[in-house]
Amino acid sequence: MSFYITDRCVGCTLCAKKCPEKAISGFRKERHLVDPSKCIDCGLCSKVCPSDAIIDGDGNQRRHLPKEEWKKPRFVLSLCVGCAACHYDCPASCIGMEAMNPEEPKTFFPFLTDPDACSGCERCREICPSGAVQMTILPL
Amino acid sequence: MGWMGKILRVDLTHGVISEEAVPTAVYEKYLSGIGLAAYYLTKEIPKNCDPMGPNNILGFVSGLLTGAGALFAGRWLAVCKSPLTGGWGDANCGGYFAPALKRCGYDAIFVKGKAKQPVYVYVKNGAASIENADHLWGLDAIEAEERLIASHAESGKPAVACIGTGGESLSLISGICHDKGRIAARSGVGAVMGSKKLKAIVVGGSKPIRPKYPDRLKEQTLRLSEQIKKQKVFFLPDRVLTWMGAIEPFIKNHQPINGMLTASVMKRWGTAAMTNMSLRNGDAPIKNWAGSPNEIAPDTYRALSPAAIESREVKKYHCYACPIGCGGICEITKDSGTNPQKLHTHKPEYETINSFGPLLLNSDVDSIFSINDKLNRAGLDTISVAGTIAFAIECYQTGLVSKDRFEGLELRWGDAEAIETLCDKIIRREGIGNLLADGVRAAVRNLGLASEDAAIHAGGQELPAHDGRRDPGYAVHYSVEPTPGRHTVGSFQYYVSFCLWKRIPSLPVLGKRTPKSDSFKPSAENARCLVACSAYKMVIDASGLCLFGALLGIDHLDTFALLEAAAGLGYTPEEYMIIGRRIQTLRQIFNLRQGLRATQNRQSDRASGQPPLRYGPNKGKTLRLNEMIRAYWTEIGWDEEGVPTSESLKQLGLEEFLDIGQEAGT
Repeated sequence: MSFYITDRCVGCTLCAKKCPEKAISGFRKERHLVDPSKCIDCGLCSKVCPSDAIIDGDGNQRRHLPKEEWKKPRFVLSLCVGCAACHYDCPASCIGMEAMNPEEPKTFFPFLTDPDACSGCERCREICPSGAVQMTILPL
Repeated sequence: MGWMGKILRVDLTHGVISEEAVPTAVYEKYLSGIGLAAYYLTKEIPKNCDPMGPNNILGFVSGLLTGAGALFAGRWLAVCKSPLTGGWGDANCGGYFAPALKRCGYDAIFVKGKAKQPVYVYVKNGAASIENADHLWGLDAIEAEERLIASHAESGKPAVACIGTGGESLSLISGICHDKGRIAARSGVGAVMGSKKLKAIVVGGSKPIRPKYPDRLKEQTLRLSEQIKKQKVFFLPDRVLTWMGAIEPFIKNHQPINGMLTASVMKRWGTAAMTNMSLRNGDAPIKNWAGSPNEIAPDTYRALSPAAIESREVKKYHCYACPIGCGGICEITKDSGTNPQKLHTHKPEYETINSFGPLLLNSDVDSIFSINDKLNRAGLDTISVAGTIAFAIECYQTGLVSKDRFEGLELRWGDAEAIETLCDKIIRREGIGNLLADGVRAAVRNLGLASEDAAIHAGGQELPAHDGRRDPGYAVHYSVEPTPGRHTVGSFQYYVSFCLWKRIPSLPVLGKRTPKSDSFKPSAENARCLVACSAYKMVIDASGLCLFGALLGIDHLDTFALLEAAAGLGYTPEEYMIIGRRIQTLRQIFNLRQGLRATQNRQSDRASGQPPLRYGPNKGKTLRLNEMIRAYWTEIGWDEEGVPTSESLKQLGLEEFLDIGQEAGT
């Protein structure tokens, strides 16, 4: 179920520029189009859209969100089992794995390698089998 | 839901790639994973197809739970008609290929045809292309994978499944490698890939996978991951495991083991934990299945102990979504003259340690690490190579084959140097290595031997390191499965661990009150346990789950509840088990259509205790294997020849194959 651009689109091309999968196409000042075969539901387009013209796969209206309010993952190591599901599933490849718990020196745990690259798509929170990912607004 | 609803078809002869929607009815009937593969391959591979020809289809399939957020859902399968056994071939592998494939939007990739030049297939989020692989041909699996990942860095972390030099030289015991040393090794799937001149499949997807009831799924996984997290690493020394193995033959009844104990042992040592235990309790075959523990060198226990393997481990290796992480990355020193290099390699598994250890009476752990690395790079199956070397040593020692044919190589039991040299020859297909590189059954033919006595196999597949004389369940599964010679399907030990009776009350309970000696009787009740194992394993493979997850027990990893949460088909556990039987029967139909008779898959007599061993925990045991196999066939609804009866076909909804009885008779 891919995202969809409604007729409120003013053709500012911001979403097409930001889309990590180059799934959005369209000319300046014209309504843009999402290619469903390329869309990965990350929701970045809806966050940057200044005219709230984007609805998600379930038909919910998504709102513009200033960058300071984007939620980023925080990993709770006391719950994490090191299964690396988030690491492999992150569409922006910004979750790394590193040994950081002295009690389990050979086991690897996730951390956010590049907070700027993270678009806050919450895929890591959805996939985490042990509930160890919380989405919070990181301090700048 | 939980499935993507599409498959990708690649025709290498014409260079055409197409997408195909899979009807929902297929998922409802066969689930995904191996079920989907069984459905398409049985329908599309023509009768008496040449396994190395263009008509054979090589499939890469993920599972129904892959990427849906379930734990242990990191397994994928390579499927084809096996050139090694002549029937259904599949090989299971971990790593992170399965989710990467499914995130491209496809449940499976089916490749047919034959390319003229070496090629690889690159799939990315709903688009695929066939690329030239001239620059990769001839490279070992790890180098090829590193280069492909570097050249496709744009898709984040692409997953690569590729063949090594073994698959390129069409060795029938080669497999498909992934993640620098995980390997889908059995059934000779690598040779099929090599025959298609397909060096690699690269998948890099990031599409979301949506289960039907995410909350219910999360509830299940949270409970299990919390339990496993709480289970601190097993604190006792590894000698305890050896003692446990030594005591076990004297315990008369089945001992149910709590799945969490299994988890903590696996967390610390991985499968290597079983080496010494298996040597003591008779699970490990010794000296090409003819020896007993008193023949192995006394230092073997210390040299191959779990602690010795663990001491070389630098970090843990987890497959995708695995909370246990039984794998490990070890450091080995590669001797290249004056400049020794430190290399990272995967930790050898129990099967490798035992096959290159006690099976050949070898106790040199360095040689096992080095051979494991070499075979991983070449993409050869360690179990099969070790089985073939054991056969070669026996032939040399007993004089079955004249010594000049070994080109001056002196093969002695336990001679690590000679074993490694022979391994190199098999990898390079040099001289005697060329005759041995296609497994034991081909080696008997190549060497012109009259008898197959020293070749231990089931239907052409070399036997793994679990002895049917200790647990006859293994022997039955080695002989009745459409993919013969597999230790990952079932046995009485597995049945006790699965605890399936907790969800399906009609199944027999094997617990502290059931004597182990009962399992040697070819009774209908025993057959029900083994059929349940087969059916459950098919459900596991269709879900893309790991066998070790299932071994924690159904009360810890509730496969049926997970499938319900992901797919929402509204089935009861019994109905899922019927799906398992349907897939099992369909694979048998595949074999019959390819002209392979079920009786051809029976394991070698020596492995069933003919002649019986004279010493050790398994001494004097001879299995009534033929009767056990009959009992299994009767229970699953197959006749005296292993052909599914028309009643059972109707019951399972496989009416379109009703003519299989007559076909198999002709």
